[in-house]
Amino acid sequence: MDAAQITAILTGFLREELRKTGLTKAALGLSGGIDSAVVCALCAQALGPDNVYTLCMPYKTSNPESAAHARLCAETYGVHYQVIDITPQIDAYFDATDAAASVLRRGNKMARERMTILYDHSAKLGGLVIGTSNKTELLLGYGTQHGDLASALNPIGDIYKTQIFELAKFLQAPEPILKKAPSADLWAGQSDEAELGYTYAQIDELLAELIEQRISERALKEKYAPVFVDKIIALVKKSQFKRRLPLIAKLSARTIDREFRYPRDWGV
Amino acid sequence: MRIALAQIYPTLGDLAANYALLEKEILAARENGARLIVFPELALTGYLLKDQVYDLLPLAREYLAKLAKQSKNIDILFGSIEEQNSRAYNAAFYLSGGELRHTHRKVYLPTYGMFDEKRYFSAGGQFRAFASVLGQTAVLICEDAWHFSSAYLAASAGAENIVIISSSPYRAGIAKQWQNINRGIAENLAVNVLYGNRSGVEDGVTFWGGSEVYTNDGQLLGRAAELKTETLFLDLPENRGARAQSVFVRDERPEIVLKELQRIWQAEL
Repeated sequence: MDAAQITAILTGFLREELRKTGLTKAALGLSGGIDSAVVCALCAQALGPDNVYTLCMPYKTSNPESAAHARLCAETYGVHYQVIDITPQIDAYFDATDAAASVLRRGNKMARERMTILYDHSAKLGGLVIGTSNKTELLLGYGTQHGDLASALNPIGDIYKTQIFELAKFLQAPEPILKKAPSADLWAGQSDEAELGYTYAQIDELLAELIEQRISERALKEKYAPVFVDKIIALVKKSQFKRRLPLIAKLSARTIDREFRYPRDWGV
Repeated sequence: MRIALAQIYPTLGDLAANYALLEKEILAARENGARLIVFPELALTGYLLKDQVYDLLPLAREYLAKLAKQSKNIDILFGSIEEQNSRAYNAAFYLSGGELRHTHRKVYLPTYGMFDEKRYFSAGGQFRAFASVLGQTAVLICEDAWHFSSAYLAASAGAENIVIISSSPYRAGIAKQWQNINRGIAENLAVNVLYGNRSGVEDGVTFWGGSEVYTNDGQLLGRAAELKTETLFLDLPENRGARAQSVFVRDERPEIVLKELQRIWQAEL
């Protein structure tokens, strides 16, 4: 991976796609993790730190280390930083409707709450929400639809998690962020790799062969444990809906996105 | 002879803005003493047009006529869309002396991966050499050049120069692939290769630039920056030696190609 060239392309992407909308500012959530740190660095370089607004949105059970790392990231790249505690609205909702809601439902609700806040801030600022989902996460569906998976522009959606680390080093992300284990931080001590059951290095190697090289399932099962291959392929297939727009029931001869096809940059 | 490769960043679907950009580049190139300016594939329209191809055909015709008028003191090669017999083409136009002298319609329309050109365009069916300010010249548009037969046919038709224009999107390794193709054509067919790519971003796709020229002995004459807008001015030398020594020019046996292809094609049927 040529990190300098990738950085040039991604900063150009952010600058140009933002410019075409007539807006100048970026809003993004900082989780304290490596993906949002990389996106923060790219935005600061592309738009100037003064045009980048970051929000850290903890819930009462979030690891305090996450907020500390988010602040460290914002300070490193010199961008605007604000903390908004989402505990009151999350608790109000579940207390009033379903106190027995599962951890997963609560986590999804938190992710969507954070995204509504980011979109509100982008409207206030005159900016766009910049996405922080990497290719591994998108392929596995390891994110919340309309929550952290939402955005106007995503600079890192074609970069695997293991490559994100390389890019983060090039962009001089703070050491503690580079070193810690990836976590969705839905509960204390959560680890992506423990939850997925495999390391990102293992998963990315398999995904690269499956997606980039289109190696057959049969050949992959000769090289890797079949149960591992089955699990990853199942995750990719099961989450296809998260990577697509809602289905529109076809009636006319020119259905939106089927026959009515214009670029996103149309008219900007 | 001085030539200019304008590695521009057109605005998608905005023909008025792109015409203004082309006009500015043409005037600057003329002042710099260039005899020919080369613009990229779909320079007048932008690349990822989708359904706009159909919408913009009439306007593209008007701007072609306006650009022809700009070619009184400098020759112009540029890419645009063209309507012919109710069909749309991805075309390249060679303008000289105030007139349209040659049209190449893209033969190989990529419809794989991120490409969907056959959905919007009809395919051209010929590779012809024509008289340009450089001498006998043929034009290839992007994917055309990835089929070695295109350059072979162009050179067989007498082209001593092959101008390749593209809107090539960045993917890992793409620059090296293009450089191999361009140099290979120049070296094997003993032709000057002028490669004009574009820059900029459309719908999340980055066009990587890297426009370059190889002389007919396979040597790199000059190359524009990657990922940037730039107009590359180069003085193309006359090198008759490379042509004289070329086994392609001297010994090529097109009748064998014809006979063997006929046999292969018949066997396949």
